[in-house]
Amino acid sequence: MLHFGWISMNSLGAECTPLKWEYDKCFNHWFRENYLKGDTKSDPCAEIFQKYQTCVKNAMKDQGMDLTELEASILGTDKEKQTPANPKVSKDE
Amino acid sequence: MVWISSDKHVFSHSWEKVVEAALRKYPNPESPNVIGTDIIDRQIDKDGKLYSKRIISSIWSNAYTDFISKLIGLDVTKIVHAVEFSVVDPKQKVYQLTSQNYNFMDYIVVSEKLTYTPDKIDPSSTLLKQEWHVTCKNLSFTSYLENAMGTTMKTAAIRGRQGIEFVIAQVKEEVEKIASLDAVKEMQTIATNTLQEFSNIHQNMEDIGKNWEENLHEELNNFIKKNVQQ
Repeated sequence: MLHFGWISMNSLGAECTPLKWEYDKCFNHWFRENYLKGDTKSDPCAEIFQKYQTCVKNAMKDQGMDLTELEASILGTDKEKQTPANPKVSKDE
Repeated sequence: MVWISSDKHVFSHSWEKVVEAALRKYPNPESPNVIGTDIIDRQIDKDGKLYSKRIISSIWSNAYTDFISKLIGLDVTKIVHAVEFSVVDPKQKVYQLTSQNYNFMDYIVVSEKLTYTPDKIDPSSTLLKQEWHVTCKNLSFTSYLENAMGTTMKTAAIRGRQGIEFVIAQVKEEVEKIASLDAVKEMQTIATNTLQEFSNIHQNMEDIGKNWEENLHEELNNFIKKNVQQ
């Protein structure tokens, strides 16, 4: 997909690629012209994002992708990294 | 056993420019192995932080991965997916990404953490900190594999940074084009140039991709030779 001379990546579901390109184009423009200039509230790409999400989630399901385990492991890592709120108290006890 | 390494790099561009390019990092000719990316979740919190979850699909088929496949009996040459969690904090000017492989998690976990902040010494530049963790389990030769995979990751990371520079140049060109826009003329030019440009880019990426693979083959072959001898 050309955005004034540049291309976007494909989606993992070939049928979702046109929706993804449309969304990327919308997002890139919003990110540069709104988000980075301090307008974080506007959401002009919501509608196309929803369509793209429906498509890509179905494609993931078709390909047997389930991220539950991975997300749990990453969340688990964060948990492990957290230090106890007050480690000294338990030591003194 | 875990293999850990880290690196730093300074981009001579503003934080905003680097983050915009990093978000649009793919495709770039330095990462020919990446064949697809998908955002699967994206939210903004009340402070304006942008959270994204992305799947990156790539093919790592080369002499090295073919060798690893034979060695460990896992086919790592088909399409593999990685999952990336990222947060853009526009107020604090921090862009942080954590990514991890999705396939083969029972055997090898390669994770990468990237943090982009304005450089303290020169705030008009951007500092990138990179960290890698490689953990192998349920496999023989684990420490050898961890080292080998880690080295591959670092090589890819250098290419990745060159890729960001490439995208910054692209974005700059795009902005300049829009700024000097004579809308109708621009659209006509784009329409006529589209096919030509597409085939040029494609050819260019193929050429660079080939060179990249050839270099990587050589590096890895040397690496393997050296390690086998030791």
